[in-house]
Amino acid sequence: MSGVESYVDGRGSGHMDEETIALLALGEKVAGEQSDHLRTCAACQAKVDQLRAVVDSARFVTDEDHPMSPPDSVWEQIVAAIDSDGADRETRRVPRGARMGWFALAAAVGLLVGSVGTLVALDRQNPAPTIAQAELEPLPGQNVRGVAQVRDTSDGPILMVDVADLPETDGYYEVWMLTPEADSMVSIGVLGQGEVNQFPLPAGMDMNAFPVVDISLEQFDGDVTHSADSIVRGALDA
Amino acid sequence: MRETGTTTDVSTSIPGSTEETSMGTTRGQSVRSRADAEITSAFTRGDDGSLREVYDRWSPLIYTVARRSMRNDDDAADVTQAVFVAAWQGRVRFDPDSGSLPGWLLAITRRKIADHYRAMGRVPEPREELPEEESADPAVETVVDRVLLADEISRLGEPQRRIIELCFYEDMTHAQVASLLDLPLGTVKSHVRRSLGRLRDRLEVDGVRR
Repeated sequence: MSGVESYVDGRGSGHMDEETIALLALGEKVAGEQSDHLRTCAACQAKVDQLRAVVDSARFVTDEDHPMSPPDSVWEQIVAAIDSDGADRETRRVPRGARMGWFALAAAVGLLVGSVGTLVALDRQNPAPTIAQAELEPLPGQNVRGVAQVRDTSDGPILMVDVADLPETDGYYEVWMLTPEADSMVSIGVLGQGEVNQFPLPAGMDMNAFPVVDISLEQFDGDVTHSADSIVRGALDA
Repeated sequence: MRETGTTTDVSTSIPGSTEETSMGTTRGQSVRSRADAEITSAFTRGDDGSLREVYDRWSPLIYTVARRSMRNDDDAADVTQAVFVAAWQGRVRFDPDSGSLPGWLLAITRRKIADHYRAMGRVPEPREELPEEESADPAVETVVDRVLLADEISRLGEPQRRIIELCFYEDMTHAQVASLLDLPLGTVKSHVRRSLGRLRDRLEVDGVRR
């Protein structure tokens, strides 16, 4: 690739070409006929001046001018200020499915559906008919398994989640339903202490759009988005 | 507020993942990437989670402008917090047609810095312990330009970034740069033109003067 795209050389129309203008802005010398033109052409001179102002500012840039992130406490204070204001619940509710990375791929594939004994526990807790079920498989580096079921209750669909032996944590576990690509998600709720948890699903929730049940480890960091630290995951077979 | 669908849009869910560094962009696009546009739309709609995305994307810019203007990390943190709280609460006043979101955030930043000094009952003064050449308190505008330029230079791909740094900071001519990097003269000239144009555009788009 030459790096030179099709470009109208200004000389045809009497003006300087943009590359020459850029070099002049950097303080380089150009051929005599070009600088003659510059003396008589206000339009070209204005372009040079504009770029030269940019160059002059840029030459004063120091390492300290490179954007650096504020301390974590700043976000926490923002959350506190907005929450205490009461005007917004922006910080709780539905996180945006960010930073999932390649975990997304794991969600989309390998969704074997089997059954394990824990289903009995689900039945005992809520005998409503099961309309979809997911075998929750450990993500790489994890060894927790579980089962999730969607039950059709008289109050609407609920998601029942049965996972045992989650590692002890200083944070907490959150249940999500993801698209197969894991590029969008709905927060279902925070996992309680018991082995079996149930969550009402939002009315209008499209299980076909968000078929993947996911449990993530979250920290008390004020960040409501998915931590990208998923523990178990599986797709509903409905 | 918004409906209870509580889903997130696919296109707005991957902040920062599409940092583009291609050099073939036309004017304006190079500094307003698709990801930025999507974060901005989500914020304008008041989407859940959009403030965090805006914060992740632009808090380093705001914090660094405040830090370089105020020369005090604690004050800069306070101003940064105030800017994002004010931006969220006043988001209905943001008009995407009249300027970029970072430009608007920077306008709030200027006001918050001024408010800070007013509350302290003084105008900014030079600090004695700073070296002589820094003794004049830099106007916030100058700081904004420098921080935006530092950011945009760091987003240039290679070899564009190296070329521009050699021209800016080593005072090399394009011919010397071409020779050093073993690149054709025309390639270096083309990179210089496009990179300078991109830096100029960044100042025009985000460095609004109010």
